Amino acid sequence: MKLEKLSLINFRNYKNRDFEFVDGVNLITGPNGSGKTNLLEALYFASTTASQRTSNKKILIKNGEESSRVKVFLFGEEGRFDLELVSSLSGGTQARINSNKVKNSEILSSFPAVIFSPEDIEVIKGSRSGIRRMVNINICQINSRYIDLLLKYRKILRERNALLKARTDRGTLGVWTTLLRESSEEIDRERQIFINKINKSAEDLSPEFGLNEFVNVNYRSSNYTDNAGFRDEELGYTSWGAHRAGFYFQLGSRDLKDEGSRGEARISALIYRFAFRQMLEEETGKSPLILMDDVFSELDSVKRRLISEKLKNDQVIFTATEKPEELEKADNVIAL
Amino acid sequence: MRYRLPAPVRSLVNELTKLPSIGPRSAERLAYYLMKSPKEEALNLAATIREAKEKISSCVLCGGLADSEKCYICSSDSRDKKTLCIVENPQDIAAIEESGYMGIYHVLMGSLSPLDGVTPDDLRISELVERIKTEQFDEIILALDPNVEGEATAIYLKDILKSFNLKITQLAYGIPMGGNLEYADGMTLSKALEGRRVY
Repeated sequence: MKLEKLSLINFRNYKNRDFEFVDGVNLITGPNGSGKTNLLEALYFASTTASQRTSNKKILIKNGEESSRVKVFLFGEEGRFDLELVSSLSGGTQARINSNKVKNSEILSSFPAVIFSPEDIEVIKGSRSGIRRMVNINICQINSRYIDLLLKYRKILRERNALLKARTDRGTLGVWTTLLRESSEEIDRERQIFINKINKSAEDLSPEFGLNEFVNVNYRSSNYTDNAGFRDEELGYTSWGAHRAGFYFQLGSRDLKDEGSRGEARISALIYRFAFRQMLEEETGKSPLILMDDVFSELDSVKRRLISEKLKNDQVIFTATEKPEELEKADNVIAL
Repeated sequence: MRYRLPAPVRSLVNELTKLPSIGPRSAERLAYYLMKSPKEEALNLAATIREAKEKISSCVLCGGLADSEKCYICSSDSRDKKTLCIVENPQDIAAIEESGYMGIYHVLMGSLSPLDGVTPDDLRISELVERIKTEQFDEIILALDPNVEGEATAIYLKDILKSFNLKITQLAYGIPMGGNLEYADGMTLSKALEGRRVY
């Protein structure tokens, strides 16, 4: 699957603009603030219906506008097709493939993409919710059932929290606890399967990137206990479950959030994204589009060459303020 | 300047928007239609609504729509009075009748939802328990909506009904007949696989 064209209307800083891409290496250059990351964000949004930077979809719409449109033109085994996301301030996002309305989850299997973002370090060293969000989006990309599991979980959670908040349990709290536990355990299982696959690839990748220890992600579920049940009734909300579980990036057995350098977090993020790239290709049977947001500026030349080598058969879109020497022979340069 | 409808028509539009799946645009279209149509037609509609509302009440047994104390299903001699099907709303009876089901019904009038403030006291559960004590059922079929509120209600009912030593069954989840497997979503298919049987 190859990306041929991106067409943006009222997305972030773009009023109305088209970009054309070629197979191979595409380089987007421009000064800070010219919209390089916004462009990659638009492509990531078209692929996942989510942004790598924010969970607030409303800020993706250009200031002062009511709605935005992101449209990509793709060429795959099935021939040419286009995929479009129209978002409005009032009513969410509507997805279309070849102008036919589809469920947002159908987008995910049609246009696989992997993003390497400088914010990944902040995610790894940041809050549990940030990592959870990143991994949740990735699981959605390879597992069509996962989004339904999450939506169902959130529905049960809202109902249970409403009951806890109103403090009017008429013998029904146990019912919602049972439902939430089942739903939470189902999500735990899918997450563990995903993490096991990532860790397996990361074992091969870690030495390639010059690490003596393996990068791995550790999933800690948050389970119901009788104590948690009592605590919920005091707090007036649910204090356990899949929405409280954590993913921890580790080097060997060392947690990178508290005990890792920024450099280690950066390499771990790269390895995670490469491991995911491999999984995405295996699960979807399509070679994903690679989005590399200003990744080279903070890496040494050995790693830059390694990355270029690993991506030589992929369609890649790099952004950079200046042209790195590894990208001298970019197939297509877009200057913003 | 936006055109302003005369006050009585505005009230009509306002009343119509309270109906399910009628938005402001549809409500206006209906109101214009009623204003344009012959006077008898509109008055006849009003009279019919009034008559239906005054004559129809809930069946004292099942809670479904009835034009006398009991509905025609509960009064019928040809129904299997040993099998009770529990549904959320009166319109669910019409859906299950399509299947050729010959038992009788009990309408809960909703499903548990703390978000919408629906508690067990708001549902016809005490009436259900009363019926189980007085009528002799062999089987209770739970035919609730396959969403989280329906599931919660089913779990709650199973807990209440277990002391009566009855056979309790639940509708199977699965693929719509005449549909294509390729169009079924993952969630439905996994439920259908879970409930598969020996052929």
